[in-house]
Amino acid sequence: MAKRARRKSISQSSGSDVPPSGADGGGPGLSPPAAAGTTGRFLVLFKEGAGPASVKSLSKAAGLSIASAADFKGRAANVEALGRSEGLHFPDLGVAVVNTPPTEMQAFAASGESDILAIEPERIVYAVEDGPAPIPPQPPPLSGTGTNVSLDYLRGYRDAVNHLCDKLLGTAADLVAEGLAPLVSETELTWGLQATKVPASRFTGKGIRVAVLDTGLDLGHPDFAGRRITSQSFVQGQAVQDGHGHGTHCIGTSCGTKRPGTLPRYGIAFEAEIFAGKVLSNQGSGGDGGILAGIQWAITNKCAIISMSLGAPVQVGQSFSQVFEQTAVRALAAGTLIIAAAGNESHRPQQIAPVGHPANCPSIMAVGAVDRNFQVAPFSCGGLNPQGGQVDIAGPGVSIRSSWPRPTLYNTISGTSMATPHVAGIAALWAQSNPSFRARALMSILTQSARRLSLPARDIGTGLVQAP
Amino acid sequence: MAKVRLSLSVSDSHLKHLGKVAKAVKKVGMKVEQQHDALGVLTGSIDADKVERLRRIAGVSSVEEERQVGVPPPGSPIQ
Repeated sequence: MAKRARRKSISQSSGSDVPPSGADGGGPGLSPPAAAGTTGRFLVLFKEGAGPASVKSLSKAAGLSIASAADFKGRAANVEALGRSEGLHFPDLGVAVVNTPPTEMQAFAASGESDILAIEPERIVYAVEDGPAPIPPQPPPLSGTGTNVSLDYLRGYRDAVNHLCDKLLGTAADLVAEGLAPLVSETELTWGLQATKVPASRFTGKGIRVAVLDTGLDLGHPDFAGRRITSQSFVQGQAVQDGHGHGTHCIGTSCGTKRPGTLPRYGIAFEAEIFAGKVLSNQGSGGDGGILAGIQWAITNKCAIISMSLGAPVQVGQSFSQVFEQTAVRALAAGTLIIAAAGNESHRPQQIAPVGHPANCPSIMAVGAVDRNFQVAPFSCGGLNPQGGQVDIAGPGVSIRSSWPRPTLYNTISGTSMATPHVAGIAALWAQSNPSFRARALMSILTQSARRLSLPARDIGTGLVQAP
Repeated sequence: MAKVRLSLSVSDSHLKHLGKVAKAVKKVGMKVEQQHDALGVLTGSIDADKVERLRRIAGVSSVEEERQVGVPPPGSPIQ
């Protein structure tokens, strides 16, 4: 049992150099040298809510003398000055730094009488060097052709060769290594629900209002029987009833039933309150005016999420709409997150088109599409424009089965339009899980919890959306 | 004179005075079809040669011509 060290006041010793216990190699019977990259001290993490009694218990069991940083009254507490068998407790963090080998502490922690969650060696950290980004050298023009070959040409050539090699060599091994085994069967669940971990989620979207601004909804579709649905048309001369199909498909993905008339299950937030806003005609077209009216309606009705699988192409170098950006900022202030499709104008690998309007607004969450092999969909737009226009997250968007107007009932199509309602439905699950997950906090938890993939952020943002 | 369909957004300072801005743009010749209080947005139409005048009205932050958006026809594999 370690001798209780003579108690030195930390403030008195702060001027003197007391080396960490492990650094000098110690003497006979003392601690072994600190592992490379560590100081020799240890961090002790206490359980949430553990009080001063827990620290006292540790003190007693491990023969430590532990001071509290709270006693320093505005002066900084100095862990460098800790003597052997001394420690410093940070009550606001629930962490203590102790200067003693952990053997006795580990026995105490394992005994079940302590409130200790973890013991870790204290790491040495370094400032990260921050210099100007090196400018990539310009490749010399290819000789013998008589013309300069542009950088764009070389990049396109490189991307095409990479794409061809990936296809021929296969990326299956990488995917399995990453823990993303290819999804095989869609008998019970669509691949999109499997890839985003929806089936395992205990959340249903209950209590969350999801507005889908699109071509409307087939209000008589049997899979939506018994659901709370509020609908409104913003298309002059046309009722909400979906005469196209696109809206029904998107509402199906985001909010569809857990028990469809025909398997597989294709819907995510099956207990969410559906707000079907028709802003696109039965021919599939609409204008900014109708979309803005739909957004106003959704906010007035306290929808936490607006899903917009619609857009207009933009040029490379074009900036985003100030009107829609201000609208989105005000929506966020009102607790509403707008999620929109990045656009389908790309023809990868030869051509990547920029994220379209209005998804290119910084305050609107832009969704790119991936396929079941976790590759970027060939049509998915990318974050090319420096002014806004970033892809924030990705969703399943190739060969997506969902509901379709009667008599067809179901349809399988592709698009960033299909990826978007995956994000919207999962956003409803997150929103249900925690009342503080609204607006920017909701955008944040979606991007933070996304599954990172080995794909450019330009194309997928932080990754593939995941359910809580 | 050709009419232009447009959306107009007011600055934060005029968010609570959207009605006042609506009156002012109507005076200049805009036909206001929708007033969205939560967004601070007015939509409607105006003669093409009067659009610039809207930008000079106090509280008007952005004026943009209405874009058409859409989705491909129902039979398309990519939507």
